[in-house]
Amino acid sequence: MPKSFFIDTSKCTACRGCQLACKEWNALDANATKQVGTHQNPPDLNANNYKLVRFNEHVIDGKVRWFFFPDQCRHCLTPPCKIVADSIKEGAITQDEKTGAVLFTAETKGLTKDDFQSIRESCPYDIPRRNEATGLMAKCTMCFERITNGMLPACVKVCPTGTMNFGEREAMLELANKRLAEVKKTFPRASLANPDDVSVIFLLQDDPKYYHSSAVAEAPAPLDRKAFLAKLVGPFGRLARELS
Amino acid sequence: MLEPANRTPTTPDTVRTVFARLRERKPDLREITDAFEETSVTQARLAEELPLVDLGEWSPPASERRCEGVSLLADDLPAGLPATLITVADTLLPVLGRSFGTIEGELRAFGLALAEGRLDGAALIRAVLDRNRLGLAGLAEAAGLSPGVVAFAAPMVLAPALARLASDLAPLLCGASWGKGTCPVCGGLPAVSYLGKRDEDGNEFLVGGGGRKFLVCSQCASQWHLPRVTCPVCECTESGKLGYFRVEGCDHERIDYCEACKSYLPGIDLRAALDPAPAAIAGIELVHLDLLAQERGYRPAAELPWNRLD
Amino acid sequence: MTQHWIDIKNADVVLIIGSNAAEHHPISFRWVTKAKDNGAVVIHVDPKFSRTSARADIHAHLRPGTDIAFMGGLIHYVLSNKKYFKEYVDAYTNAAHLVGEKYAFNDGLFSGWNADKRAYDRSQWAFELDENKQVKKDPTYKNPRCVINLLEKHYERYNLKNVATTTGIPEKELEVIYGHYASTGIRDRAGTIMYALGWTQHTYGVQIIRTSGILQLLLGNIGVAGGGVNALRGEPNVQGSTDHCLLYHILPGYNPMPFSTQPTLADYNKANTPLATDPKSANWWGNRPKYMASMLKAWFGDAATPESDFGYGWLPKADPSDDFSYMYMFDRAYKGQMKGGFILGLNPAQSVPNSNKVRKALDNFDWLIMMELHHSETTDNWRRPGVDPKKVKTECFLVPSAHRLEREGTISNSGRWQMWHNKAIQEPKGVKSFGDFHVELMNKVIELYKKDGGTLPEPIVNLDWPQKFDADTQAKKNNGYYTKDVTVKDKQFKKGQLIAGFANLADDGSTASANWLYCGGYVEDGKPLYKRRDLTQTAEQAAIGLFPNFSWCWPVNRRILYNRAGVDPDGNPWNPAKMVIAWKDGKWVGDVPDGAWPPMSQEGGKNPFIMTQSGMSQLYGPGRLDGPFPEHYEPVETPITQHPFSKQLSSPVYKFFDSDLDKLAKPADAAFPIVLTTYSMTEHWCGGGETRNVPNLLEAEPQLYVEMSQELAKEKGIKNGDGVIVESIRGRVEAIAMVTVRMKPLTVQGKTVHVVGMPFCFGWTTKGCGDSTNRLTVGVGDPNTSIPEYKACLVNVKKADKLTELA
Repeated sequence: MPKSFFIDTSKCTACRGCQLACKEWNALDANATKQVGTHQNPPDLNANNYKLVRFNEHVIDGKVRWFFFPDQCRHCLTPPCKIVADSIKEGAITQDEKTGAVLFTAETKGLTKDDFQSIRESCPYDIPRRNEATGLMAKCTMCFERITNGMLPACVKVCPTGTMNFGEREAMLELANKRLAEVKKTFPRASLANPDDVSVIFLLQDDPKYYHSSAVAEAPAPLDRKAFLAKLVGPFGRLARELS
Repeated sequence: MLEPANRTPTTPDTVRTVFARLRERKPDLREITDAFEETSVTQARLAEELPLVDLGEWSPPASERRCEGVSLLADDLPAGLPATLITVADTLLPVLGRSFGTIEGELRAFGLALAEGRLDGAALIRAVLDRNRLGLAGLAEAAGLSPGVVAFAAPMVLAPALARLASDLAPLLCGASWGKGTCPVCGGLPAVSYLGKRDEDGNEFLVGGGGRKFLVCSQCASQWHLPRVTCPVCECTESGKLGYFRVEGCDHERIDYCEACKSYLPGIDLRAALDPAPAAIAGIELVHLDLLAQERGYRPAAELPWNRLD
Repeated sequence: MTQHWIDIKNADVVLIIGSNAAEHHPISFRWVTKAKDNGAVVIHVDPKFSRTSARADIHAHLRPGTDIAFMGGLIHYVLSNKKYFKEYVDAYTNAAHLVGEKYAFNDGLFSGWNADKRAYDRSQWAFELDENKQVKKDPTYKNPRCVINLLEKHYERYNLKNVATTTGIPEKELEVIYGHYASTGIRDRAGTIMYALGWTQHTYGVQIIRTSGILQLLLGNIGVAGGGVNALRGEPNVQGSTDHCLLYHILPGYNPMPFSTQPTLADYNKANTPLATDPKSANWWGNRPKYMASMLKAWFGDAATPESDFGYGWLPKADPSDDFSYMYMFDRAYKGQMKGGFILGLNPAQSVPNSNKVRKALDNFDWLIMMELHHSETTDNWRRPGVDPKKVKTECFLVPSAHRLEREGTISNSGRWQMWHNKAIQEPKGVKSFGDFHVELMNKVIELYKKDGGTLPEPIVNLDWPQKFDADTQAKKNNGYYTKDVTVKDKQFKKGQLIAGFANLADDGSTASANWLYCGGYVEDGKPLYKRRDLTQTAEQAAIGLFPNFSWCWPVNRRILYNRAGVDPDGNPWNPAKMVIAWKDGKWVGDVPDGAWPPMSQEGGKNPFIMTQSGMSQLYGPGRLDGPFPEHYEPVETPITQHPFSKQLSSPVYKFFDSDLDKLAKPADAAFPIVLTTYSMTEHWCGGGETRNVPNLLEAEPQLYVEMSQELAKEKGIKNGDGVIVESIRGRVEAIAMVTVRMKPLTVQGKTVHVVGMPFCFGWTTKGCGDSTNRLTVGVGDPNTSIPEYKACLVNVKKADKLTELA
């Protein structure tokens, strides 16, 4: 049965428990970071951070508003990254039929920098990263081992505010719609980010642009496999690969 | 009473789901899964379908006595309970016989003795509830049955009847502070514990609390709260004597043990668990931990069909 | 806290001021949001817009150090608009008490001022007494010397205009906030005030807190559910350590430090045991001699006898003018007056203000023994940047300390609940807990004194000292036991039997109790009450979430202090829906009342504020060193030159130091035009010594920053993320600019005042993260407590050409 996250940013306090729990569970090394004028650190997702709380502040209608966005892979129902990767190397990116988890496998090691770049560009949420030392691609795994052993993902387990939720897709969609109706009473611009296309459904209180440039997908809907191939993999690149 | 921790209902479907995933996640336990699946599904179906248990003249013990730790069934049994037991036996014993072919005949004899009244249902129930092994053996022998088979099968037959009764009697428990390691309904020992989810109180800032310990009765599947640092068997509260262990990588499954009485109880932490099994059969998913606990010299709080591993 | 965490949910208005509760006391904030769910209005007043502000209904930017102006304005608003709870004020405050003729207040100074001594003669503030030494009263309030009239007059100047021009909060915003809070001055509404270090760390911190006491009394918010004055204490166990006297000026249980002018216990008791000034006063401190004798008995055991004056003579005594608080201690060290010492669980080279001075002061020690988890700026002070280790004479010993998860014992939460804290993991070999370390060390000292003798060996060799540290045994000792078989009112008690409550303590040596407040927390059958986890409560208790059977709370398990003021003089709760106690069928129900006496209107009834001499709460409080009413003064370093509504710019009695390193910027110093305030952050704990050593936390908050408004950044040509130099007259600190809409320039006396804010958790032992912010802060303190003024000083900010600390 497909699983989904529901991330209720209206409850997020940016405690960053999820960001750290993800690192702890996945045994990811700490990056040597610098302060660059924001609490958001590390500045972006990277091979050692599958989860990152983004901080954005704005003055809206004369009031200070502070937006928190716990960013991560959306585990798209039709993942563009997988469509592109399949055309390069079958098995580099897989999708678990049962849970819907989109997974980068050890096979990604064989992908070149350019291959990685085209996969990254295919992602409407700008999620894929690459570990330059190992060549492996990296992102949220939906805590695949945990969930197949009956455990909640680490980020959900640790969340103290009810922002991070995980469960059957149907149940998460129901919860998301219930919360949306609630939040809309105070924030009429509230919305769910691409709920029909992804397994990680964000509830946003205000215009997505306040949260993050890639909070929602710009494309109307993910293209189907064929359209993607046509669009993203140039005829020459494809030909070169087939010949080699 | 606090809301039960695990609200996954025990239905034939949810029980099937547990066995299906048990086969997938823990293929080593195949013998146990094969042996208990049909019985567990049937028990769940019976608990749903059984008619109301006739209470007759039955009344619960006085509330002061209950506050002192006397369970609802400690004094008297509802008049209709033996009849319900026979109804269960009719359906369940043949299923059990198919799973345990070597004792099929003896199980049939057990059912017959019950139905014909050679084995007194009320006395049998009382012996099970009082954990009176000798009494139970005596009853079996007097009816010409194998004491071992009766000791094995009687609690399994009783379980759906008690589960049905427990759901009817649940309102009687309201407001009572229990605080015992044994079941407030039938006095049974716990099969498994749950650490409760965080409070679902709609607070917009922090989802607090959680981790409250609930025990699940091995006989009637009732759930009740017990302070965490308390051994359900000997009620020891010394933190130095109580401990727990887990298998690395599985932070939702644990064994709580007590050095004072050397008992243990498997537990599930709902704050980390994704899809908790229905309370009545949750313990079967933790048999691998039973094995570890028994290897370390601890005894199960309650003897269950699947945790007699010696 | 007068209340406890859960009680916050009962408030109708929550005023959070001097605290960032959502980030630093998240559990408190859970109950704030519960109150909000029930319709409460949440107001946050703070120089910075934080996560607390984001979840509040209203946030106002306050200029650091102007809290008394803000609160005084609120008191004025309540009085001038007649919003106070008159029945309560009449019955339970000293509003009607007459103040003596000598009291006066002129242009910022109270009467009794002695400029040479830089001190007040406080006898001039005394109440008027009649021939029986009872306070004179005028319940009609016609006498102009009634407290309420003096109060009204004192705060007359705190009008919206004056408050706005002082605090930087526009008049309109003030009016909205004042209106909300004043709405709680009726029977069935309550307001709570939550504060933390943002209030205490000023040269008038005590007086800020006094303003909240006055306000809450005027509104009838003390002793009721959802009210109170709530100091938020947290994981550093400030509540427990204050109760057990980690500070120099008290002994356990808030008994004052003995002075050299009190050579005998009788002298001490005479000086510290008040006489009641009202026939209905319970005058609880009249019991002081019992608490002292029992404490000395616990300390000196069999050696404490009437003949030995219970060992009182062995206690060290301070001169009344002495100050042994940490700023004074490091001043002495800086002047070379100290040879060595122990520093345990503290990082003064990082966290004491004007830390450049502290660092130099530490160089003057011959020896230092320190206990830490990690190397800190203090343990490694001898090799700090810019110092040649060969030239530092100090011999340093670093003892590895057990982490708090490796220790067990009691801990007192903010609501005064004493709770048992289990050891979670075994400490590594060779690592000691503070308790083990102290007990072993002292045993060695005792052994040496016994063997070799020495000057005044009695205080050491006579100690009733354990062979090994055991937290449980110590908890029993805090509770207390009978030292011999005794019979009290026909009841027999055996030697060694634990004492049921502090009312049973005696002054004749028959009882020992190391801390009277904790007497009653341990009972005989070996199950300490503070280990209770029982959630049962009555319906009335459940209505306010009292949970009287969960853990144990001092005093005598009373969850809400002064609860006898939460009922009318007949014992009926002001707000029956949220009653704390009520007099029903001849007895009290609900919480444990402040004394079992019947309600005030009945024969034998007592006044509710049992710790004061009159039994009445003190709108007028002549006991503090800086005045009976709180008065707004500017921080010692202030961006303005003229007090907005008096002639006295700063507190006349604040504490300061005269060393060459204790420089102060003059008011509105052109070289340092910006106000700096300092605070904690979520990701690092206190001075950061522990959390900077957790790589993933350091990744999330890696370096020192300074938060500033966009306007200031523009003025200074600074862009977000630029390296900057923050400079005060005392020091210079590198930081990264965090330019944010959450900081805002304020308009004060018609001029723009910029405020910047910095955390203080970064230090040089963590490479490249920056160094102590406290090199900027100012070493001046409150006259009553000597707490430093961390929350306001003057700095300048400029773009850095080159960074070395952050490299």
